[in-house]
Amino acid sequence: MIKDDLELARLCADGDERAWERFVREYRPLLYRAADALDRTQGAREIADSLYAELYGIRTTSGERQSLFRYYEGRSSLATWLRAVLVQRYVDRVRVERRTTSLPEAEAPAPAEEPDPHRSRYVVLVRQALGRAVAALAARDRLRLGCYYVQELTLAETSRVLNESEATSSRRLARTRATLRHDVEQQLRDEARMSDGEIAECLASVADDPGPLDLKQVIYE
Amino acid sequence: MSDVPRRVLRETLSDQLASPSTSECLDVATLAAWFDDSLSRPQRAIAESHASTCAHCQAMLAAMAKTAPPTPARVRWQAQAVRWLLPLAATLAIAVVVWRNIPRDVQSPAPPSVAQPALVAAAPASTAERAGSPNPQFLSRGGVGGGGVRDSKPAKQSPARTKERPVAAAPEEARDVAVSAPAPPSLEAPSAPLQQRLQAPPASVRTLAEAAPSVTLEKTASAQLDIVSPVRDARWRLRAGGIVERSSDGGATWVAQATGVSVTLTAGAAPSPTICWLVGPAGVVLLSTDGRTWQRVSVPEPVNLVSVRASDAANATVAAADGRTFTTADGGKTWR
Repeated sequence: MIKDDLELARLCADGDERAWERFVREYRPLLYRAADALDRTQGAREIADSLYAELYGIRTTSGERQSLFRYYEGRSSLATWLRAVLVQRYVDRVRVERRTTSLPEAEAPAPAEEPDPHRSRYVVLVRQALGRAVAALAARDRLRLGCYYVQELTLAETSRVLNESEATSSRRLARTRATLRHDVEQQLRDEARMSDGEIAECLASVADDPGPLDLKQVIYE
Repeated sequence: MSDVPRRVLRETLSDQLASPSTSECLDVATLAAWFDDSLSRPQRAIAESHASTCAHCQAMLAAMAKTAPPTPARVRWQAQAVRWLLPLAATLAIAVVVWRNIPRDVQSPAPPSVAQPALVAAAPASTAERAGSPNPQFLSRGGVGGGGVRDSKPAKQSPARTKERPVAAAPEEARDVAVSAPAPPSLEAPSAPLQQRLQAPPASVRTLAEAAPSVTLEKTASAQLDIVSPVRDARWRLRAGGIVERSSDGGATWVAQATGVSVTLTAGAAPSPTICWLVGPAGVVLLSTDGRTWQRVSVPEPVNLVSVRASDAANATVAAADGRTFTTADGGKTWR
């Protein structure tokens, strides 16, 4: 299959019209589907369309054809490679737009209504401890957490990134969170000299935002 | 509370991500190989190690995961059955091959009753195991290994679930429990003005297959290039050789329309149920303003056109395969 993909890419790069027609026919729907998945308002379709020009090949001043296909090495299927090109362009564009778009004025923190006088100290302690605990995690565990909590992927998507089953992702996320909790408690005990009661109070205080409802636990446990 | 505070965890993870791209960032080939599972183990480890601390690469991985075509989920019994059936099938296949290759002097003259069992038994166990033993990597990915009660439940509940987001203040765990439509979700925080770029009404476009004329419409329906108007009942589809068909009942029945061209059209846009623009190779542009008849519109150059966007019968932009675009605001009389 990769061999066929490489051949198709080579022919397209060489300007073979039939190969190009076949490519457009077979791969355009795939690119459009991926673009729609990135941005349902069809913004990413612009990128997909612009890719065609680069794939078709732009003639340089020397008259030589320079096609993006030249960069396809066959390390993956052509379909996945095209998706990766689209994704890279899209992510780059979003990043540039974020950089150039003026940020809304930072919301001033709500006037502190501190029922707990120790809260600010607790927050600092927990953040420091959690930071160290996260840094000590294995890269794969950290990546899983990042996909799920920062990139806000679903479990299914997270498991796709990690190339593991959804059940494994779920289990390992839970295990990593438990490890973090244990590590944070240990640090609070050892370094901040907190008692178990103080630790519980500290973590409860920091968790002022109870976070989203854990529907899985509600449903299954 | 028996868990880490989620908000603090999210903020801590974000804080630890480096945002500027570096030379270590995943390139396109590596990113694609990651999702085709064709990275070697050391390459994968290096890539994972970098991605675990890089915001840019994590965003690309997330986007790749979101755009991945849905994979049919394998039911647990199927995975377990495969585990047993593979070696069994391989053993049987080897037994059949061995049986068929029995020398004739053993089999034909007077088949001794001992020959068959002896030969079957002689099928080397080690060969059978080698041929039949399932790939451990494959098995581990197949989700055979169950989890605890809590872990296995989410996977069972909806194998191909996706989510719609961002939903303000939506429970983060709800994204894995709620089952949404299979429509692909948008990328993380797609709130940029990017969303407002295109004003043209959505026209669903699919591929055009080179359908043999003798093949029935039903058989080729999935391979047509469909152009759906905002009123979804009204749609066109393109077939090889310049054939255009229109349906006014959502695709249940189709009526062929004369276009006057014989080239295979490549794309179309239907901003209303009666207005449709079509493009094709060698500068072919067709416009219908009544939904039934087609008129040829001339473009400045006979280039191969690969896409078209239109907002009405007057305004359209066509794109050529070489990347150039031509825009008209007067129904194709003039282009810029």
